[in-house]
Amino acid sequence: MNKRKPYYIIIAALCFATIISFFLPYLHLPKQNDVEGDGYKIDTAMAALNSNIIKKVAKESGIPKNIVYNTAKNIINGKDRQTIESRLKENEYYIIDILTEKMNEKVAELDEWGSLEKRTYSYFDMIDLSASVIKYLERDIVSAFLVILTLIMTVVLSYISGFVMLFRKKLTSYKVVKILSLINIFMSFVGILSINAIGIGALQVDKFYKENFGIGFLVIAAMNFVILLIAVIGNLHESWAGIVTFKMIMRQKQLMLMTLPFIVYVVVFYFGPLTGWIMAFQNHKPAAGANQMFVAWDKFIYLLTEKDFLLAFRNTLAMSLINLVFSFIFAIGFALLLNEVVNVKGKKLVQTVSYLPHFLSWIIVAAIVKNVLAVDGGILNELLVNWGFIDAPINFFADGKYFWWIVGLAVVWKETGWNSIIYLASITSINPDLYEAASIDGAGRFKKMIHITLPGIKATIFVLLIINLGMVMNSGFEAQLQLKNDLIKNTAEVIDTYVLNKSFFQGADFSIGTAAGIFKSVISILLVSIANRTAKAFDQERLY
Amino acid sequence: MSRKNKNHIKKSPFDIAFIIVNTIVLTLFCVVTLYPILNTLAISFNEAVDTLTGGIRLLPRKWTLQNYKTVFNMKSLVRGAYISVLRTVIGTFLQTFVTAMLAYILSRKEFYFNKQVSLIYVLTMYVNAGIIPTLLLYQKLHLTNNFWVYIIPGLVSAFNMIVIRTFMNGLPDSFVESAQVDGAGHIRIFLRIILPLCKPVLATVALFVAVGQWNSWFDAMIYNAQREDLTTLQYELMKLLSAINQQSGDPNAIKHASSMVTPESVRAAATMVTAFPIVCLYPFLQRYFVTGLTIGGVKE
Repeated sequence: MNKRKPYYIIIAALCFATIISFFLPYLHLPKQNDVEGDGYKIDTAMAALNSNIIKKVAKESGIPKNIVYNTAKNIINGKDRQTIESRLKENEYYIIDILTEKMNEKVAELDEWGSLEKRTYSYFDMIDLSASVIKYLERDIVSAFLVILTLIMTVVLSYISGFVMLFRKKLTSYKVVKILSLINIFMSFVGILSINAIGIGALQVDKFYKENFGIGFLVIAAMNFVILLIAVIGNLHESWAGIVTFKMIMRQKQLMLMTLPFIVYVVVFYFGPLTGWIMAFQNHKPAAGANQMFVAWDKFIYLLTEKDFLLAFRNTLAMSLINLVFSFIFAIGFALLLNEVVNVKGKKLVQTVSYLPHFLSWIIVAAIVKNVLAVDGGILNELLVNWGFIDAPINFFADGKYFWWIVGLAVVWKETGWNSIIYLASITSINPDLYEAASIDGAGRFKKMIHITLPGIKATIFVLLIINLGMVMNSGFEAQLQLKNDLIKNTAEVIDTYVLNKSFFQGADFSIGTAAGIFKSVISILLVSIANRTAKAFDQERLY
Repeated sequence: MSRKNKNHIKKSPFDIAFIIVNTIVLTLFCVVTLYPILNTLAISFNEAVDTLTGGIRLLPRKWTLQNYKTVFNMKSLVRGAYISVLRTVIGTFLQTFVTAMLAYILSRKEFYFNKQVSLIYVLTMYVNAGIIPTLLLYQKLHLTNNFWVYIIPGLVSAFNMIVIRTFMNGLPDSFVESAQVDGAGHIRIFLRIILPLCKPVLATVALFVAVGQWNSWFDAMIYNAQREDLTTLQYELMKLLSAINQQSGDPNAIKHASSMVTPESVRAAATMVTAFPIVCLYPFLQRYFVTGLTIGGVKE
């Protein structure tokens, strides 16, 4: 216990620092040039443009949102009526009046609400501000609520974790602190993003939030991260009952030096790209450089309401479930049957043949699949017609209903042999006495296969099933990318190909692509960790 | 069939029926697996115009090498093949070596941070930032439109590291300890003692890496799209296939049509050329990857 005392001191100090950072906004006060005295001006016109007027008008009139938005923008910019009308159809002119009236109302309302008069804002003021945003702008409601929530939660959580560390003297594990810190970091992150959205989207006080609240939150997030790090390290050290001292490091300096490039490498190449996730919260324009516009959760909300994405989500799940079921049934069946082959040479031959497709790239496999399924001359169509199952050849790539099964069977063709390796290895570890005993009892080959071999690999099957269920978001994309065409887009698109389409092929919206990627990653990380935990609970070793 | 079985118990009719059914099913499996590949091979050696009449199965009707001549005359494919060979050779060597080095460090039980470093690398198997952030990072590092984008990002693979480390953990400690007593440093121990002992597992990992390198096309498409001279064979094959499928006015496709070669035949020939190295080498390397998978702890 004594040896871990330094952690208590550090963590306690950090908790106090967190509390101090609560007052950080008071300490850092930039001056805005175009405002007299203290305070910050709201660009009321911009705020009105960003409020929910556009949405309402668009809904009532049935005119697309972007047209209404552009009209409103022209009104604000003071364009003359002819120019504005030229962008509209004749029966749409009436919205100009409606928009002008409503915008003026909103601007007046906002003027009354006033500019942000004080120059110092505590977190409580920010909560107040967020509440005002909800009240007056009716736009960034989600963001504003999140700000209030996170502001309160970060502070409360910091206090709790601090007190836990300070007063639970016989702390045996850092688990509580770890969990609290994790929630806290998450909250801080949500808070930063939401404040960004309010700052730029509605109030146009980006400079202000950047230099105050942004830093305040970042400090809290950073400190919580440090707390978490220390808690994790402390946890890992529990088994060593001590801290690694400088002297010990020097003793292994050659190994340490050898490790250093690997650490740098993994941080740059694997964790470095994670910083790019910020793009999902921006309206990313490559030309804008470092000054991107924050839109908070807009891109995610867009994704979850867009038909294409939801279809891609459905297809991802459907195809990976089909692949999962197919590959399990075929691989297990193949392994069982192969195990019954007594002729060693024949067994080897079948194995060699069955692994081969695994080493061919999806490009080649896709070409082969297209060849087999071709309308004229495809072997499958020919066989089906000859045997009288169908009257005329089917064009398998013209109707979306076949696509999932095509991919599923292509995966079966490519991977069955490869997937069976693990089951074959598992079968060899079954006790041979069992077969002997069953033979004496008069069991035939088939019965032995069903009653001994299959139960013998039950554990392996189960663990693999759980782990594969965890990977259900990763349906793969190479097969889909090679095999899909525009006719069957609705069933062929998966999240990965959706990302590629949005960012490279049919547009250059990096933000949407990144947001979809995050959506997928977060769900799949959750699933994988749940699956691994479950598999571990069944007392089987995992990969790590 | 085998003597052992005969000694024990007579085969019942049901058993014989089962063996027959089993043989039929597995034969069918082999046919289904091999037929599409052999069919493509037959088409690639058959005269293009003759192929259009259909009915080519396992053997070409009219032998010709014209399809292959066309493929080898396509500059982009030849250039792609050159880059593919280059990246496979360099990539396999470097990636295997570097991964083995990390595996050696992490297999040293006395190393204080081996758990933490392992954990970080295992996390990389699950955390994936996504294509766009990765692309932007590579742009910042000037890796795009650069040959090294094929090599550097995959330099260390966590999975392969675990495979090698598991093997190294099985080696007796006395090798390393006696060398340390003799005053050898870790790098010398790694190069002189551990690497030669790890040959079987290194062969396995090298095979995995090599196949991965040969088959990859996605990096060529995303990162090196603007550099025609850095294209890979697989990517060229993909472009060829999709151009033909869309029946677009691809200049290559038209050229073939005029010289007694159809897109279908060229496609078959190009597919076979791309698959050739793997199909040829793979039976010889088969034993390595099965051992490798078994070592890798994927199985219990």
